[in-house]
Formats: sequence, structure tokens, C-alpha cells
Amino acid sequence: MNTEILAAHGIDYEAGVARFRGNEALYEKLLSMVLKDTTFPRMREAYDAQDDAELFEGAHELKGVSGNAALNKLYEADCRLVEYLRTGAGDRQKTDALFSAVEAAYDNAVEGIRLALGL
Amino acid sequence: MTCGISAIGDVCKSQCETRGLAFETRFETDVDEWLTGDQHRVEQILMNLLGNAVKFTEEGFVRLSLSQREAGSDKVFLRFEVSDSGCGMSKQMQQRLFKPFEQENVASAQKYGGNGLGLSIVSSLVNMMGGSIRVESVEGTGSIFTVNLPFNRSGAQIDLPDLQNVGPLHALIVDNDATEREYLSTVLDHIGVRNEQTANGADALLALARAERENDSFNICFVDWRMPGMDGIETTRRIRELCREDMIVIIVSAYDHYQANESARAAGANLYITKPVIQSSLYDLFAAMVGERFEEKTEAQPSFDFSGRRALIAEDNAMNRMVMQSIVESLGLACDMAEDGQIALDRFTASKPGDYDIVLMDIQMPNMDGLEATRRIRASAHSDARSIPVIAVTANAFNEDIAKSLSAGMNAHVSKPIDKKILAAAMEKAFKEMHA
Repeated sequence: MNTEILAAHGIDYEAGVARFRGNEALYEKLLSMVLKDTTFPRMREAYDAQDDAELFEGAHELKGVSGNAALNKLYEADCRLVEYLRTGAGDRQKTDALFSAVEAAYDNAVEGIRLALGL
Repeated sequence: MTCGISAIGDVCKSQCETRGLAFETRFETDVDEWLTGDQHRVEQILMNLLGNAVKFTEEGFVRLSLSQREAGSDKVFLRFEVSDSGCGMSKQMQQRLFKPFEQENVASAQKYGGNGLGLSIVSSLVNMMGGSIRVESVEGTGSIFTVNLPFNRSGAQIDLPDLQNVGPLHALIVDNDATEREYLSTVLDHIGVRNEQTANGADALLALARAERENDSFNICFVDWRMPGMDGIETTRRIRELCREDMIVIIVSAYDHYQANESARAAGANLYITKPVIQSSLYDLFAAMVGERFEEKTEAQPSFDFSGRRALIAEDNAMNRMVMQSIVESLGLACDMAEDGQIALDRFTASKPGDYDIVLMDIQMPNMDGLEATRRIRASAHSDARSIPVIAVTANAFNEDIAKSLSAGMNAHVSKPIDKKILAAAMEKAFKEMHA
């Protein structure tokens, strides 16, 4: 596992492994599950449909998932989106900007996982 | 009590923000953290009064003030004051205000809606609790509703370990509002933090320099966000220029805005917290900060071992389930997993008494969410229904979410990403409370 690649993509390997009592294989399995997780694709659908309530639900879920999986950059970007949507959103440009940041962080994390796992 | 008030305040704050109103929760005296009374009725009363205040105020503010009066060794009265800068009401209306179906006039009923029952119910609830309610109002200026309610002092008190064993704390409170300064000072006194006060940023800088000269430096500053003259941001910048890097600066504000948080941090603040500052959260904050900064002085972390116990974990996301299971098993518990609230409820109701020692419950789940599952667990005929600890485990750590969890019957709330120590501490506290 190339932890430098993960770090460059905003993923804290050490913190992630610590959640599994040092079991690297389990954390690597968790990382591979990120690639199949449907949370962000659901968020993208909600965003395209301009459904802020559904987008908020997805962003809330992604906050838990990305935090637990130590996808730190994605977690930080998603927290901003959650906080904005929680207060009622309303400004489409702001939603666009925050969602784009989450999307970029998600794509970056997925790329890092693929590279690190050799997929 | 303070946690509950803070949560109610947060709900109202968000309503005020939507309508462009300022909202403030103000603790005018120290208030016991633990009191015995009917929390549900208190919430109904306050939500009703605050809801009305927001509804009838088109510009200006809504404020909830709270103070405590002693009434013997085991009894206190809390005075809740809900004030607003709304449309107010006539003298005639004030006299018939607490009767059912009363509204100012047809125009008012049409403009603001409602059925005129709210205040009649509030009045009944207050009477049932042995309290009193009165109103002062001036048309076009605003209204003040004052409710006095009796509570018994609770035997339960927060068991706070001594903060002094991790290092001496010396705090400076900078706030132009004398009531706020006094309140924060009392809270700090209670948790054993030596503190001093100044009324503005310039005096704060002088106090910091003096303390440095006298070899009695401050290590924490609480700076109010909004002060006339030098505001909280500027004061923070100057403190950063003047003081050592390890000075902790906390900006305290009545406003909870992401942008404000960013400005505070950009100015060099370590933290941005919203008022009212309550004792238990302040303690947790210090314990975490001091623990981190004085780590070398602290004793070994307590090791938790819950061997022999079994947890029921409700979590719909497969990745989160995996992480939860690993962390919970590392604490010695066996786990059963449920993919949603309905499955968790079914597992619990089908279990034998004592099969499960604790339930860890996600909130947002398909089929049945964690709040509903908890309500149904509590209402079930299972012999452990009322006693089993249920801990909410969710990505939302906002006060209104915590309030919802607690009012659904949960014992505590832990945020994702899961921190093993925080989860363990919450579980240990829940087990202790269960056996108390």
C-alpha cells in the first residue's frame, strides 16, 4: 500500500488503520468499499435534480462515511456543504460551489484509492 | 438544564436567522446543570413562547433570558424571560391573553394565523407545574413574557475530575457586557479555572501584558465577537501579536455562522463557540484542549474494557458498520448488527432480557430512522425497554439533532467519525447511570 499516494489524495492511512486496531487489510478493504459506495452518486443525482433536501441527506451520510474512512479532504469539503444546506441553502451559486468542491474531493479520493490499491 | 435550554435556543436561532432577526440566549445567573422537573413541559412552554415571539416580530430581536433563584436547600425557581421587539399588544388583549381562542383582532388573526390556543395551553402548563406567568407589552414596541417555574435540585451532579492536575489554567474574559462576563466567570469558577475580566480589547491587552510582567500569564482568553471599538477579531489579532503562540484564544459569539468561524480562525483564534457557554461543554472543551497541550503531564489514558457485554448496532451504511464493529469489538463488547431501525427494533424486542447491554443507533436510516426506533424500543413491553442505554451515533452534531435524540429517549449522542475514547466514555457513563 502506497501511503504517500493516499496522503497526496487527502487520505490519512495511519488514522484509518488505527480504527481497525492496526489491521491494514481491513482498512484496505474499507477503502475498496469506497469505490462501490453509492452515497456520492446519490448526491450527484440529487444535485442534478436540484433537490436540496435529498442532497442534504446524502451529504450528511457522506460526512459519516468519509470521516470514518479517514478521507480527510473529502470530509472537510463535505462538512462545509452540510453546514450550508442545514441552514436552508437558497443561494444556488453557493450550493454549486460547495458541491463542486465535494465532487472534486471525491474524485480525488477515488483516484488515490485506485492508484494505491493498483486498481 | 443548561443543555436543554441551549438546544431550544438553537431551534429558535435558526427560525430567527430565516426571518432576519437577531436571537440571543442569555444566562443572567449561574444555573444548575441538573435539576429535577418536567423537561417536556418546559420545552413546550418555551417553544410556544419563542415561536410566538418570532411570529410577531418582523424586525429586531428575540431573546431568551434565564436566571435561577434559590428557594431552600433542595429547591430552586427558574425565571424564563422571552422578550421581543415585535408588534406588542394592547392592554385589553393582555388581560384576556391566556384565555382560549383569544387573538388581538380579526386583522391580526388573518395576518399571523394561529388559533389563539397556544398561550392558553402555556398558561395551563405553567399552572400545572406550580409556576406563574405574566406579560408586559407595549404596542409597537414589543413584549416580555416572564415564566417562573419551581424545580428540585437533583442528586445527580456531573462528576468532574480536577482540571488542575493537568496544568494551571488562568483565563481572561473580554466582553463589554457585564452580565455575560459575570456569567462566564461563575461558570469558570465552578470548574476550577482562575479567571479575570476586562470590558474591552484595549484593557485586555493591558491585562495580558501586566500578567506577563508579573509572571502570572494567562493561557486562555475568551473574547466576545461583537464589542464596540476594538471588536473580537481585532482583539484576537492583537493578542496573537502580543502573546506566546500557545495562548488559547476562544471567540465567543451569539451568532453561529460558518463565515464568522472562518474569520475567527483567520484572525488566529483557536476556537469559535456560540453563546450560551454552558458548564459541561466548557469543561469538555478544556479537558480536550488541556489534555492535548499538557499531554506529557497527564496520567495514562483510562483503558476501557466492556468484556462480557453485548451491543446492538443499527447502521445502514456498510462501511460505517465495518468501522463501528471494529471499534466496539476493540472495547471488548460482542456485536449484533442491524441494517436499519426496523431490524434493530425487531432484534431488540425478540431478545431475552439482558441479551443486550447497549444499543448504538444511527439516526438517518431507511425504513425506520433511529429516532423512531428508539421511541418504539422505549415504548415496547420488553423488560429492558426503559433501562437499556441507547446512544445516538450520527454525523450530525448540531444541538437540535442532539435535542431530538434525547427527546426520543436516547441517553447520549456521539458524532461520526467515531472516536473510540469518546464512544467508550459515553458508554461507561451510560452504564453507570443505568446502575445508579
